[in-house]
Amino acid sequence: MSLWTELLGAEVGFVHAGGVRTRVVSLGEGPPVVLLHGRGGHLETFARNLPALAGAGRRAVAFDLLGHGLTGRLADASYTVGELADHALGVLDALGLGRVDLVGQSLGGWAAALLALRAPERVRGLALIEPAGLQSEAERLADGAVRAAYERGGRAYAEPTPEAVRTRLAGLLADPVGVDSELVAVRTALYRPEEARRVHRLVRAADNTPYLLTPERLSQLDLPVLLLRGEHGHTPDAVVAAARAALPRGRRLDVPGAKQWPQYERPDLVNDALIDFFGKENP
Amino acid sequence: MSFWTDALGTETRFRDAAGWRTRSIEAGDGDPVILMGGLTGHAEAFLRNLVPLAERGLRVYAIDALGHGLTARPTDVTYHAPVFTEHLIGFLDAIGARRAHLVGQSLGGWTALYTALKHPDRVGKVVSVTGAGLLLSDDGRAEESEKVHAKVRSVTAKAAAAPTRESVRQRLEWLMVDPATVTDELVECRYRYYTLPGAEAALAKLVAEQPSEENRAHLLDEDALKRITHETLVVWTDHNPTTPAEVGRRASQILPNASFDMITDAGHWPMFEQPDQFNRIVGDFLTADPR
Repeated sequence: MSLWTELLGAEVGFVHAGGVRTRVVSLGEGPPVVLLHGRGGHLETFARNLPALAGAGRRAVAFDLLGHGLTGRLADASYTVGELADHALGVLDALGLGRVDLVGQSLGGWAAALLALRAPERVRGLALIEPAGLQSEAERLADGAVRAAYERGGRAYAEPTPEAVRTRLAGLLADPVGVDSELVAVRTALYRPEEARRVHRLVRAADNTPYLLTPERLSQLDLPVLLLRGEHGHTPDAVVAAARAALPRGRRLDVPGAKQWPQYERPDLVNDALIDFFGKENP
Repeated sequence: MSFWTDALGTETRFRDAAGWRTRSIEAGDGDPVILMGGLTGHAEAFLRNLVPLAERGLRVYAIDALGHGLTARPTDVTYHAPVFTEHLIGFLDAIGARRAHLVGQSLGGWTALYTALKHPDRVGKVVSVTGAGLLLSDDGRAEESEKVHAKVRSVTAKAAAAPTRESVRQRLEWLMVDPATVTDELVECRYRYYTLPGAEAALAKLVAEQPSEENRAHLLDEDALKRITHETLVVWTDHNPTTPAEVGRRASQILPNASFDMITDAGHWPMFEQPDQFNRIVGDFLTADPR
């Protein structure tokens, strides 16, 4: 019905993580599942997933990444994925979460994988939804369709109108009419401050080359990893297949009728997959 | 545009108030202010006020009263004025506030004044908005008070017994001048609170006891009002469906340190129906230097 009614009963609050005031939502009780959103995103990215995870006996936690949403910014940050992962680890500490199942979408997937590499004792299982970092930015943008989507989506950073925001969100979906207007309103409000858009431009410009999820790095992820790929996603099939092959305990699920945001476009399917994966791999 | 967008920047916390789990929606920094709604109401009623009042330099908490919303619904209490005050004082302890301003609408207004009477040192300023709990001795006012009490009892009992979204919507529309003010998500929240699993017995107790004859012993009569010396603002509306504005105006004259203001084009819920007027009037009052 609405974000408020879907998330009724959730706690929403601000914690200080590495000196950064960070907005966090938490719903349910049980072993924690923590979800990291993508580039230009915010915790509402997972509004369709938190209730199902909570309903399956988990504490479902999402937060606004460094500089994103209503989380604070750092004057001297360059917003590399490495810095986002450091901040995310700080959030786990601030929340007193020892060991968690971690879900990340796009840039959040990349950050989640880095977090698991840096602090393997903190992560039980990892689910990466259309993760970034499997290709270099240059390689990714060599695909004309990807570059066009990148440019269309980037307009919301220059001009935060509801139309530009809707276009950006529609670009994430296999069926672009699926964008709901409340989400457009939330994102438009979050993008309105010039400072917020400056961060998004920095996130785009950040040099993440040193953090690429190479096969060698992926081979060090010695934990259950689920790769979720949207049927119409931008990452080439061969790239996802190579990543899976490099992962010691990797699994893969292709989500039909979805593009970059399967957790939003096919929430039932993705929720069942996450609950099943985290339950089975770590009963 | 929606509850979620109105609430952006606020926190939703669950705090232990006198042993009862209590939902509180919070924003801002500064002197603490507690916002409290009416019988079978919930903190969503103040989502259009939290951020604007916080922007005036206040720490604002909209709470679900005992037996309401997502706060605990005990069945081992009597839902009369004293228990709402006990819960409120517990909440002030929970947030570490020695003293707070109280803004109460309807039942919340009764709780605010009753608390100021019983715990004067814990209360700063008081705002009673289309407040309940006033018993004036003018000719006809006592009788009218009884009628209002009976009316509230009947509409509330009707909405809370075997609720449907339609009956909940009707009860909410009764609160407004413009029925279009009642949004789908407002209906959905209240419907969910009326049908919370396991909460049936507590809700039945609440709607039977709060508007009961026995609770009338805790009404604020003229002698009680004369003893409340806090700076108080009585706010009424031009279309209140319960007590007429004249009662509020008269109460503000009996209270030793009170003023009166009217919000136009609103029914029982001016904070929701006319948030701009409400936020200006209440924000000005709470942030003005003490008289």
